Amino acid sequence: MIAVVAKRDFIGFVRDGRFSWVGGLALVLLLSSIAVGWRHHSELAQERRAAQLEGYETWVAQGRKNPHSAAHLGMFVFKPETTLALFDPGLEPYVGATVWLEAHEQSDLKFRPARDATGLRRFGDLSAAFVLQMIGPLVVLLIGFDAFAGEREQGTLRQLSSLGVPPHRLLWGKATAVAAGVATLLVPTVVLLLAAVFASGDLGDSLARLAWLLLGYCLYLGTFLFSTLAVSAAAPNSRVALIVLLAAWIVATVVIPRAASELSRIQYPTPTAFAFDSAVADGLEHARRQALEENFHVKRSQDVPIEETGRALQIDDHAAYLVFDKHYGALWDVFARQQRAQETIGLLSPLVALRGLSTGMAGTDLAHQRDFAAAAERHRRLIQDMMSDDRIVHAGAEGYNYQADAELWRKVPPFDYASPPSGWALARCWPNLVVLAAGFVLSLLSAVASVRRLRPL
Amino acid sequence: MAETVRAVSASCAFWTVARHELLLLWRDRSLPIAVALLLALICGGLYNGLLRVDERDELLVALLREQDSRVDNLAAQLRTAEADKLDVYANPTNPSSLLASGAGLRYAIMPSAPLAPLTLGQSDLLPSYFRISGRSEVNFVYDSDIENPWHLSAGHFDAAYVAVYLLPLLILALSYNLLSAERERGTLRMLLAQPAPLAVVVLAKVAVRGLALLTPVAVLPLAVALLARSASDFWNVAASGLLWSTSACVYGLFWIAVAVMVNALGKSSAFNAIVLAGVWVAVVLVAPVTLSLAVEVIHPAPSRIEMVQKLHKLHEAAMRHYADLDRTDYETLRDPGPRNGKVYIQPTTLRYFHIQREVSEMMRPWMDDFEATLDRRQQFVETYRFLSPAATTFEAMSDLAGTNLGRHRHFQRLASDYYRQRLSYVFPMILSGTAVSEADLRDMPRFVWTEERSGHGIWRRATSLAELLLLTVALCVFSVWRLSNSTRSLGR
Amino acid sequence: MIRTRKLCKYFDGDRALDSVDLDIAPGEVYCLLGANGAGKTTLINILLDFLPASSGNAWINGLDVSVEPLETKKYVAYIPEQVMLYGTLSGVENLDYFVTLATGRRLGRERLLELLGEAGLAADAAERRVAKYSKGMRQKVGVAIAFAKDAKALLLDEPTSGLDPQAADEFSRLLKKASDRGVAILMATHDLFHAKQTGTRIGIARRGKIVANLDASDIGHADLEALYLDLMRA
Repeated sequence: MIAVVAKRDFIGFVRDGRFSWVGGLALVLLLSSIAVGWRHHSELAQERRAAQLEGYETWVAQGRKNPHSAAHLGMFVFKPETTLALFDPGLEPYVGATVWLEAHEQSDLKFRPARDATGLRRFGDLSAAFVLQMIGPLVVLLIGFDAFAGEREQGTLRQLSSLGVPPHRLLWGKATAVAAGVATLLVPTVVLLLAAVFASGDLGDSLARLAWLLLGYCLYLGTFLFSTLAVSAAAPNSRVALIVLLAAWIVATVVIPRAASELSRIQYPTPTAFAFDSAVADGLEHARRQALEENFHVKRSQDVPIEETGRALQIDDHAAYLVFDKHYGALWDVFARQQRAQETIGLLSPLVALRGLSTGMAGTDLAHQRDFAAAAERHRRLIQDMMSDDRIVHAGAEGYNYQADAELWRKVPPFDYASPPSGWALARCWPNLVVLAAGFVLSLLSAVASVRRLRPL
Repeated sequence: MAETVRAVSASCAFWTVARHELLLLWRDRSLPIAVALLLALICGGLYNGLLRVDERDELLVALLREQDSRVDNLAAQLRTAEADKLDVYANPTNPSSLLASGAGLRYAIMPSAPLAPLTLGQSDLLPSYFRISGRSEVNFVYDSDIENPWHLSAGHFDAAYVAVYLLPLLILALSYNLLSAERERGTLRMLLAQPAPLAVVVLAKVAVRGLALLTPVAVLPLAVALLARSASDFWNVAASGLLWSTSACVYGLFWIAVAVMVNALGKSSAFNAIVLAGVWVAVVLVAPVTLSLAVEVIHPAPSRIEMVQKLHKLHEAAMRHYADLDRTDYETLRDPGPRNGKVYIQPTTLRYFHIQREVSEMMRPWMDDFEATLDRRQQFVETYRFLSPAATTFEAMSDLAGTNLGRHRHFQRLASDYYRQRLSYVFPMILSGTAVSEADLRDMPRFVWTEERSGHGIWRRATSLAELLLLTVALCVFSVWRLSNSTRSLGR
Repeated sequence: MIRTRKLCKYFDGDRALDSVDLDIAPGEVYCLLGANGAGKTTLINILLDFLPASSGNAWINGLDVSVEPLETKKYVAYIPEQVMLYGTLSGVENLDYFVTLATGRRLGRERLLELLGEAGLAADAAERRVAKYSKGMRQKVGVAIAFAKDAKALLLDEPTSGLDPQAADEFSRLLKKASDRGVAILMATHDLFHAKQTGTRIGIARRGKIVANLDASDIGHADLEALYLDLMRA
């Protein structure tokens, strides 16, 4: 019986042209954004790999020089693109993917692509995730808003009730029909993403990430589906249902995410680069002076004996590590607090939770950026320490003027970073999943309740 | 004679319908709710905009204060400098200190424009100050301020956002069933039985809605700009503020025209709502991001990866060129000077500045190329922006508020010039080892901000407004034609 | 088959049904006459459990409609004044849909066309979309639904109003066919002519009360009209 209702409803919205227009448009957007994303992604991944390799070669091929000088040349590393970034680029356009590993200074992720964009960037990025997040609910709403209200207006609801069709069967049937409509968007997306995952060769973990992603999107669209049916059953007519649903859609997808972001920023202000840099500089100044005095009992670095300069450099660097750890840790914590605040306000809209989950599973969220930044900084310290160690061992009275060669450069391993596994990502975004599931259950209950009160007149 | 009678009855009909409509919209509470909502949203947007811009202005003041106090500090040190007590790495008499990344840092600052709180635009993506030291140009011009990427991706909640995204929704919510509701209620037939021309009836209906919704958008931001931001230059602020309000109103009129046109098709309220929601999605959500994607595909931004690669190689090459300077002269290290107006410049220091200058100069062609590509991208957007009135309006608004790419590019050019100016002041001193005097420190060139000459800008804004207005008029003409030809079918 | 006892319905204090007692046996066609607002549609709505009764009970096939609403609907078919169907589906598709929902069984295409044929709808018309159907054609689909689910009780609400005489006559004959199969029929109408022609018994309702109960064979057309007008004036 459910299948019968579902089939009738499906034919209904296909024949009246609504579905072909809205769904067709969404599908075209979805497929073209995946196609563009795929191209962009594979080019970028390849370019980054090649560039990082070449950078390492430049490092190894640098001539004889003082190891500290070499540490100043340093090398640059790139955050590797995860396969699913082609589906949801998430924060990638707003965080640089490049880190320069250089002596003395911990560096930020540099070159945000959004900075090179035109003013249109402010309207968002067209990605498959954007289409599913924004247009997906709209498709659900436009094919489902008259599910009950429309039948009542046509008078067919009376006919159905007179036949003794239990209301909850109607609900399941209609839900199946709308779900089938949405599936025509989801299935091609999943197929393409599977193809991308298989093409990338990184199977196990990407598949797990994809499965969680899919679950998140199903819960998200399911929430809209059952809310739509609940409103449709409760509304006095389909016009009211449509207006209420459109308003809810706009508030949930357009207004709340932006407002939540701004409010969280007002609650936890981001430090300016000026304030941050000043604090780091003050901290470094103090730590370095203290280290110098404690270890060498001098106030000026030129008073350190030549044969000790290598050790002095290392002590200085290690003092700096603590300062960097403190300040960068605090900065990332501010970001994390802002995100939590944003997600708390975002309980009002499932989109906020979905974005957290989606970017988390695509590997394009804050946690992944932070993990990469930490790995890059570890590598920087490794290079710096190796350079200083070599100087301590070999320089002796030559001090700075000691020179090393390619044998030392080769000892530095190339930077090899792999994205954390899906379990790691899930451990960071499970609250989002819980929120999505709770929203889904709530919408389901409200649909059941409102259908129970359904009157055919 | 007959013409006069008709004209009188038209204006009479207009006022009657308008009064009646106002009463209806007031009774069903839709108008007061929509206006209150709009007021709240605009106030929220303006508050947030003011907050952000004040934050930035305070920062810029703090930067200048810090820079001044640092210079004063150095001047005091120069007056009291005792050669043998100086730390070689913080020696104020050493000319390299004028370019050092600590003591010698200078800020290039772009003040916020008066209308910045109305449209925050790209002000969070494009920094409003540069930190200029002796490091190569590429090292500072692509810097950005610290910000949580979530905020960057979400965009701002400012008056422009309310005007571009939400105002159309409120307009559509009040007018999607302008005529269809009358028909569904059955009152349209009664209305059409009266001698009032349908176009006049519709005009009166939209006039009430338009006036109620466009007035807050036109007046509030303008008032805030004049009250909070026009201390120095009232007339200039008033002029650009008026242009901002006009953009918002023309954009609002466009949406009213769309609503009228869809109503003139004579379909049901639900149909109108679906079509109008679809148009909003297409114009506000889809067209701008599609255009943005088209830019990336047709005129991709130059690869930053390539840039970094190039930079690394240039750096390595420059290190080779100055390899003979890669040494510390321990003999002179303990006694940095000054002696007779001369300071001993360590080879490593010389090497550092040579390398930075070489990298900077070698990167110049790439950077010029990069700028040219950005120009081409912007050009592309301006050619096709007519595809989305939302994008057109947003661009015009951020242009007026000085939070767009154009003003920032101008700032970047000024900063680059300033960098070279400073370098040509200090570099000879470093090469010759001239000790810095207090006068040298005070005479260092300072960054001076000058606003871009705006003749071109006004023309650009005017054309984009005219385009939008033209589109609006076209929609109106179609609607009037349709309304006057379909009175019978609408009454059915 | 259709039975009510002391059935009352109030709307905000207004009496729509006042202690209605009704018994309609299988094969009987009961025509309920009355002006607009007499309570005819309310009675049918209560029998379908579209509205709850204020007091009293109603049974179909011995089942209390408010206690076992879904069970009773297995035995009842409903044909409103305007039979509401899905405009985007054809007659066959509509019938297929409703029949499957009513019986849980899929009937073959042939059988569906046969049912529509029995109800008087030609095969080529049955293939067209319902949006283009006339009122009479829609009613034939409604009757086909009743035939298909083998309803024991048929509730008709003003079925002949707005039909042309030929269509109305055709419809009356369809009802006869149904009552010959032993279906109990309740038809609310203000069409005195067809009530007399089709009905086996005739009731006259006024302000929620059934004020007269007549045997159709006992009374002529002219007498019925006189009686009806008399009762309405009283």
